[in-house]
Amino acid sequence: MDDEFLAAFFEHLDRLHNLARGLTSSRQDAEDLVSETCLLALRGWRRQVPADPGAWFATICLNAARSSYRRRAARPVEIQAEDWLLAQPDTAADTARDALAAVEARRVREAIALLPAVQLEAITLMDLAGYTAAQTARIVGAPRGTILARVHRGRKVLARTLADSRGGWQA
Amino acid sequence: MTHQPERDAATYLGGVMTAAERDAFADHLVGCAECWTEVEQARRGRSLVESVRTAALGGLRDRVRGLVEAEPPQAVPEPASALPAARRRRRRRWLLTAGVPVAAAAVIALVLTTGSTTSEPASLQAAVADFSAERLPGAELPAQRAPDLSDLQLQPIGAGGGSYAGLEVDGYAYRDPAGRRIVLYLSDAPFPEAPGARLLAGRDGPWVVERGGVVVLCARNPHALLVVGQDTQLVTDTAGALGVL
Repeated sequence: MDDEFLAAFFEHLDRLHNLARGLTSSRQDAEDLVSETCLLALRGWRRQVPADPGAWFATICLNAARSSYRRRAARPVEIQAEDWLLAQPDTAADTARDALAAVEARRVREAIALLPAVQLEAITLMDLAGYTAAQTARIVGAPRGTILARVHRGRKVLARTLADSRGGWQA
Repeated sequence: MTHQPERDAATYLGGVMTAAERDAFADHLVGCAECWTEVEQARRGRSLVESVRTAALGGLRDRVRGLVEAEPPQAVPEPASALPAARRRRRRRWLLTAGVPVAAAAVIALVLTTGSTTSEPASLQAAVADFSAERLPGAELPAQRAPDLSDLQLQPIGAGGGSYAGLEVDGYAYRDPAGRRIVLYLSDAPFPEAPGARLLAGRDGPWVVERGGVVVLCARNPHALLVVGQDTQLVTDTAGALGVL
């Protein structure tokens, strides 16, 4: 039974990782959240196998993240060059390109982290983790129209924020 | 259809329009600067978020495998028939959902009483204490997702299961934009009645009591449920939305 759980969890691991990455402020926190999700899900799985494991894992991950929002809100956004450090390049050109990409990714992540919680959750679920609007609505427990509105407003804020910071984009 | 650029663009990008609606909006889009901007900005925002998607590293995969292998096998529950009733409830799925018109509850005027607390049930004490301390009953996975109370502008802020004086309870915490909190406590077994509680609909109906500024409304049918908050009207509206008033 645990093998079936592990296979299902691994099937959704990239999604969960992206979801956790959007809900936390560092790669380490994201991995801790995925680990916590794994243990909670395993215990639940042993009681009853869910009908939709992907959405169920996401619900657990979201609930676990929400319980730590207050602690997280008290901390400043962590600035890390982790993506660049973890993907060691082979050449000097790669170094420059990857460093720039890491800087851009960090700015996007920081902008996402500054969104209101309801927009952050909806955008993380849909655009970062790849859940559909209908799945996201079920996971969050809100109507689909509400989810679409939250995602839309969040996307616009990100586009404007990052356009301003780059000084070049126009609507 | 009225012209609402934000709503229309969100629906268009959300892929929930019919083919005819989609074609009509696409035609409209090319000639409407406002809708064009809505769609373009949102697409740009979506693209930015998608650009930071990453794959889980092998280390995380190893860590997950290690966690599963290390989780004690005794965590596997006994067959349901061997469990005490209070523990079997997690196999059940409550069907508690919101959706009953709030107006039905609004007509009920609550006259609260503090009553005697000398024989206060321990489960009620624990629920009130946890509400005041902003704690949940525990960290267990709740038996169902938090009921949707967005019609009351209540957003979930946490959920977890645990035990109050031997009574297994799932707690669902919410907060509204004004910062008012509501916590729902659900159990398979009924919550003991508080001394001095005001009965709202006979012996088997819901009751309500106030403890130190915390209002507790308890329903017994069709679910064993406590609705706890500091705002009497919000507690009443919540119970109404859940269909227990």
